[in-house]
Amino acid sequence: MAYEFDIETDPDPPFTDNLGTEIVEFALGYDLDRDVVVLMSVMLVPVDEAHDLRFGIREKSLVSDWKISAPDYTKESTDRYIPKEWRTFVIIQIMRAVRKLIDEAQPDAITMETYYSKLPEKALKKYATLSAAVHSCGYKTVDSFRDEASQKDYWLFGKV
Amino acid sequence: MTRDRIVEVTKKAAERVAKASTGTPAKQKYLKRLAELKAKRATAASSTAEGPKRRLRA
Repeated sequence: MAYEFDIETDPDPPFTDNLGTEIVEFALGYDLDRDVVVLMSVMLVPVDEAHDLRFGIREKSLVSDWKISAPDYTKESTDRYIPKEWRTFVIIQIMRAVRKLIDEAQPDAITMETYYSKLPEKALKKYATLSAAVHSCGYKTVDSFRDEASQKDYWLFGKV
Repeated sequence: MTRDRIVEVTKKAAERVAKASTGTPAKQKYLKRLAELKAKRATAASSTAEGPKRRLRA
């Protein structure tokens, strides 16, 4: 795989997909042999009375228009596509995307969950950073908890 | 919202985005950048290939 990290610093404004999800995407890099752009996809997904905030890595083929992967939330994908020294910058870019999405959609309630169960405090830091981005848009944390069944962490944000 | 409901909402959202197939509308921008990176790689490869020849000529 001839992957080249080449992060996009000035992404386009949010767009809405065919299911009503608000999305901000920015390129992380390119696979030059497969003609693929690797994107960070930051999404606000409308589900009934709330919007769910999520972010994951997608591979988008630049030769087959229809071919885009589902978001990948795994550590393996992060390790594959984001060099360690760029991780903080990527989080900052995700924060910017979160603010743009919330400004655009102005949802009443926002949910967020961790992908992995039983995350240690250190691994929850990025979620705390994203919570701060949500707070800066005029929201407060209404609830946050670790679910007993899944051991994943959850947040609910509401307007101040 | 109850905690059970929060868990349910996030689960539904995960399922929804896993099915959605709409990609970025900014394809042209990415195509252009891909071409630039490929050209850069080709130039780098050709200069690497040229390197030993130059040394031989010298």
